[in-house]
Amino acid sequence: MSKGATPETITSLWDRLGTGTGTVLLFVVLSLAAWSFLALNLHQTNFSGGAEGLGFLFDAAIPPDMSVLEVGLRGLVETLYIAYLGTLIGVTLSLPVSLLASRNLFPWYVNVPARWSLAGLRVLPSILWAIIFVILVGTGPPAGVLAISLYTIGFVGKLEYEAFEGLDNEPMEAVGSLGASRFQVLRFVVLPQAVNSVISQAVFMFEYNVRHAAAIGIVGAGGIGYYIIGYLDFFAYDRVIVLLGIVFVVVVVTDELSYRFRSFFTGNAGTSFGK
Amino acid sequence: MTAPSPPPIRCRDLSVGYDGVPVLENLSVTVEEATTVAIVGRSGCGKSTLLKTLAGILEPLGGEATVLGTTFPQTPPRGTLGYIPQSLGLVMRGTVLQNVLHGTLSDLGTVRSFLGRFPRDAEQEARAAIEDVGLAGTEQSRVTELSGGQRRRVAIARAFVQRPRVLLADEMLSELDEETARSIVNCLCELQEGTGMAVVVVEHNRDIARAMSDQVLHLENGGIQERIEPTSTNHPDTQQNDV
Repeated sequence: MSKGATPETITSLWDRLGTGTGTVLLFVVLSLAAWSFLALNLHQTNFSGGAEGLGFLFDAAIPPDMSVLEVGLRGLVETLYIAYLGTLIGVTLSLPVSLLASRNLFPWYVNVPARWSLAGLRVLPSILWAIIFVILVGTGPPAGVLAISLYTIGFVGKLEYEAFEGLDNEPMEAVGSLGASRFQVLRFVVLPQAVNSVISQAVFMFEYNVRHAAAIGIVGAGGIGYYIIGYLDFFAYDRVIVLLGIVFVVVVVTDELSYRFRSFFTGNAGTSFGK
Repeated sequence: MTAPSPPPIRCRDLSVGYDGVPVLENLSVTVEEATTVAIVGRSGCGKSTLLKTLAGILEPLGGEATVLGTTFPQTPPRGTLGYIPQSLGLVMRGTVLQNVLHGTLSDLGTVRSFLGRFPRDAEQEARAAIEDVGLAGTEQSRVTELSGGQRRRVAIARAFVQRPRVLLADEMLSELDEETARSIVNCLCELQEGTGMAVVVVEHNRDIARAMSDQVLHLENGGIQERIEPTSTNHPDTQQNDV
């Protein structure tokens, strides 16, 4: 079983809030917040020009220029392709690495390097990977697919090894002691038990990557972001707002579809508070 | 003249436990071919820990446990050891047939393993094992659809299908009705006669333990409190009813 914050530990922390330890904890949290606020000079921020800027933006963007809709939809389709391919490649490649990274499946000298590799891929956000690949392979969708794939390996790989570590060890021990090899235990016990969780994470990652595939276009890695930055350069806010609207609708739809799809695989149809 | 083969299980001054803390110490037990040793004792006395150590899942804390000529961290040749854990260790998302087929994995090659394709004879043996434990007709049922007793029988079929030389069973007969338990014991006896299998069972019910075994080990206070040989003519336990 993986160690972490269980409902019991959360409840016990909540119960402690009224005690001396809780008061000290609250004091530390608020002190750090105050320190951060002062360190960033947020108290000196001048918001007075904000309203004026908002007015300018509103005038420039409204009414939206709907003639850009066709270009936006073309960019959107490209974004979806990038997100889909990046997710598929990333999830496929993350599986063997995450198996190696699981503490309950492999010894430390295997899982520590595997974990470090995954952590290394997560160090850079997908937009920075996109900048690197734009330099390496040039502007366009290939850089986007490579950036999304690499970040997906690091991100979903972590979710996967945590899922593997949360599995019941008894079936692995039982089948292993019957003479199955390590590969057979992974193939016939670990993956069938974790398959729903892996699919759910892949769907979540696709939803996440749709948003990021839209953003990485800003640095030239293809997709709708490429058009957004192009129009921004020419201050064509009336066109930018149409493209942002398309991204917003797609993110909301993907989010809803992803939730329903994941609920189907995890058997969690919804949360029922207060029952 | 050939030397007699060593016993399938031999423990000398064996200490077992978790995280360096011994639960049982200085156990010396020998299980000969075609014999059954039953382990009884209160909950938490170390019965399952001993079985896990013999199965190679836990490292002995001291002494030596030799199973089929190998000692930890070496493992017995693939397919020679059958283990039924207390919690059964079934793949709950799998079907009955898939779970029983897991008992034949030691004979499955790498390519077939990768593809998940079992040979026809392995499937026939698995179906026969399922029939032996009285679950014919449930081959394609998911384990989650079965009762507790039926699940236990799936775990038994999975251990029986490979005809092991050593069987380690943790509360194999719990949750089973008397008739099913009897048929499982009969099945075990037939297998033992045919293969000379050595059996170690953890059993809560002392009557069942006496009835099905050649030796009963009563564990208590971190060691063997009592050794009972039910088949011995001068032992009062011989008077117990069979199950």
